[in-house]
Amino acid sequence: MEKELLEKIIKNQDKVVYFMVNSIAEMVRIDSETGNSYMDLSEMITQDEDALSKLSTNNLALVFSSLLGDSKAKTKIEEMLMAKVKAGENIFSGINAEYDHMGFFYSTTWSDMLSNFSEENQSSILKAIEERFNNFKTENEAMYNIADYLQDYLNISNFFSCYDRGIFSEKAVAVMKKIIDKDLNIFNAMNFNMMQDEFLNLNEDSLMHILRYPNLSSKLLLIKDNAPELLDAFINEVNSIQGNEHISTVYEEIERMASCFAQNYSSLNGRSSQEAIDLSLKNFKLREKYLENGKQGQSIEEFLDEEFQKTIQNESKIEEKYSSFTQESLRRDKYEIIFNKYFSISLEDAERIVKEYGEDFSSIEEGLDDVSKETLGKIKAILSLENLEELNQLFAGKHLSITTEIVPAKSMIAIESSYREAYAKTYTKSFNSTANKISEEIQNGNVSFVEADGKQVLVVKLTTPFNFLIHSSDTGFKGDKELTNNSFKETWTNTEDTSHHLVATANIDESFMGMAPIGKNGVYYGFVPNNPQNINLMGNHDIDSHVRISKYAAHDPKYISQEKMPYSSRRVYSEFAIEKAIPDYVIIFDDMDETKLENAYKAASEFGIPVVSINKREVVKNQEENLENLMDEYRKSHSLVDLEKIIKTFETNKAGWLLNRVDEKDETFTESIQHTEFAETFNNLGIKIREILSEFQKNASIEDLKSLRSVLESEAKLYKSQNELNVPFTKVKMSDFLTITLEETIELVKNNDITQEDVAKETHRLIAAEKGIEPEQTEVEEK
Amino acid sequence: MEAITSSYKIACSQVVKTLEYMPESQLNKIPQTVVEYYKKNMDKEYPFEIDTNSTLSEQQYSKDAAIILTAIYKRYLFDENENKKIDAVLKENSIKLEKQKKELYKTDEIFGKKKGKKLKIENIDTQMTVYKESIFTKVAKSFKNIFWKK
Repeated sequence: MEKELLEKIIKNQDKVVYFMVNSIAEMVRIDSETGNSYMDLSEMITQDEDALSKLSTNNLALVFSSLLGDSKAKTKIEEMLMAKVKAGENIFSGINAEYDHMGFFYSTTWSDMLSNFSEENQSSILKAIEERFNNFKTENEAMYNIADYLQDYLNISNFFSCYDRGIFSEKAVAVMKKIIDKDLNIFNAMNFNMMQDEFLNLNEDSLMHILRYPNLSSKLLLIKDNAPELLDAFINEVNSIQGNEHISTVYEEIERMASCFAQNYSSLNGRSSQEAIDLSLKNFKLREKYLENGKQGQSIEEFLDEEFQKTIQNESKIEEKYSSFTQESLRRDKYEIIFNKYFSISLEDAERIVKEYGEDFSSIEEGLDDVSKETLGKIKAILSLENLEELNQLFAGKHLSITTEIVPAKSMIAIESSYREAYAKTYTKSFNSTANKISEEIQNGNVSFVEADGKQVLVVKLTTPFNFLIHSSDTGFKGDKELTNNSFKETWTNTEDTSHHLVATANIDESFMGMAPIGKNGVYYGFVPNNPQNINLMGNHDIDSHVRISKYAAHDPKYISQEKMPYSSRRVYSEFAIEKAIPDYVIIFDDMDETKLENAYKAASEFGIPVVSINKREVVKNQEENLENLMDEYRKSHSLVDLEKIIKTFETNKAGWLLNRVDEKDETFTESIQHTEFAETFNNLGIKIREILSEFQKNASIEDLKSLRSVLESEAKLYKSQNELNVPFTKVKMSDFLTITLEETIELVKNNDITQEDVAKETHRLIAAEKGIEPEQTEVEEK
Repeated sequence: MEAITSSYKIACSQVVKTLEYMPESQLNKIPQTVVEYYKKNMDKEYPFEIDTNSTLSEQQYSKDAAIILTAIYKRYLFDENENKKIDAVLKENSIKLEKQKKELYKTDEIFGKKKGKKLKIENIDTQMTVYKESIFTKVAKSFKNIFWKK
């Protein structure tokens, strides 16, 4: 059995390399056959010399890099690799230095690989590369000039391997020069095997995007070697959508096609390009099951029908006493198939889509096309069905109130993009007005100048209202960042951020000033993107946007319109991920120390952009005036709508300055944010607001009280939903507002038919309890 | 010594939970010994949650709990004028109940056609509010089902 498995691994070695770690499906498939653990598999392959000899040099190197500690196997593999080095073979031909490579059993890096060699072998490997590089100038000066931009031995080795195999055509050389010119980071991250002519048929933007991610490149190389027709389909599809579809749709499709084709090239063999593309864009869960188990000639639709019929058969077998358990699991199975069939998404995706885009739907409804609107509505309606029979009718397309037509996978990806864009549009208008306001100030000469780095830096003082996306270049979260060549610009353009196509920012405006802190070498960069396609991820809390992967992913993002976002954020900041670009401004605040101001001016000087100066004290003063005005309005109207505005504005303003925390010591990275000087202002405002609240409650009808509580409850929920990291925040204490009123007590008495005698009897107990004695030992006394 | 019934213990649990939600300004008016009395007598296992979206009268209180709360509010929170308003309703309820009793205990009807009605009223007096099964109870039951299958 083990032998068979080993043969299977050797046969599919490239696939195992790329998917062993990443793909759970692949892992389970191998594990389930033998019951072997990951470690067992690792040992099995490294102990077998014959198996090792059948691995490609690249994969042997990857196995070697994943080994920990000293072992006989490690010594043996090192010998095998060094023999190849001595024979003049390039052992790093398919590897480059950037980021993680999928090893056979663990992800590995260049440094893992090199450090596994003995010191003697390490220096001999490096010496060989260095010698080759030094001689290369005389060998081919033009190519040497290109290779000279490389900063890492491993990348140089990867470059030589491709050069020696003659894959650099004139076209490839031209592309490499263009990459150097456009983004040196990409040149230092790319796998040069991607310069083979086939890949150069990709449009420039998509190729540049792919080259940032070595793992994505690896998948495409695997497809090229094993299923060239799928690579053609991939390239044609990417070229047809680039420029015609939302950038996030393009990236999502690239990722899905590359992963599916690389993992399933054997199963996709014989299918048309269009069918392969359609399948690759579908949700992977049932698709993988179909590709693995589907019957010959069966379409995925037929497969899903068959799967659904199985759930109907299971339904009839449910035993009464297990019904609640089984029904729920059966319901989810049915949902899974329904969403896969009609929307090409999983149940999890359906729930996510409603959660991410549905909360503030009314704010963007107008900007959406009919299909996008209807699709979300339909998903919501389907999720609200609970009855199994209703789900059966729905699957059969016979539901009375929900019509079912298949939304193709491609359309579903585009629908998500259109939602993102619709939400983003609510921001770009506001960003434009901030940009215009700054431009006007500059045109009118309302500016000052500061000298930095021998240049005059323009400083614009900005008053409210304003709206920015603000990036803290050094949050101090992981210690102070070091600058590259003492330059802010170089740090921004040439850093370890090679694979980042996104920048994480916070959204600030006059009502909510929540942002990350800046450390010793930090600068606040301001952005006012005017293309909604560049704003791709957002949330009313820290969404931990994954800026280092090729598509768009984050933790619990939530799309909310510009008008409502500040009022829904209660945790430090709301996070937005935007496409990386040169900043529009450097932003300074009146509470910055000299070092931070100097940094800001230097950064602005290097980028050649203006500095925007915001006075926090003035912002607080405006917030205070605004709240006083709102309270005046309430005093005239006594309306709940006005009261709600006061509560939400107060909570928003306070949260922006982090004054909503309890007095416990902040030991997180926001420790350096100190706005205690504004605490008194907000304490005083809080006292006034509480007075208004008490007054409202005294005179309110039962209905108004219920409405007020629902406003307060929604505030409490905001904290609850965003308080996942146990940072000490003050949750809204409902008790502060749950004053017992006369009207409610009378209702209580009426509804429960409480009589004088009932109350007298209990009062007897109360009096006893007041005196600390048991009830029977006292007499009722009037109070 | 007064015997504490299980329904009174449950009522105490509901009252204690309600007091947790009371603003400090009002809670401070209630003697600590009184709060302690209800805490001491509460059923600690009884799950009760306040629905903050609902008014006081819409909470799922048992009748005993509603009586205790009324007594507390009357004695410690409301002023004389406010108490007069509550007293008026209490009196109204007392009269209503008295009338019902008279109707029920007419001697010629005790064993006659209205017997059923009497029993019904008795049921009302003693019945506990029925609470929704909590999720924890459901889970616990499910586990029992699994183990008992064997």
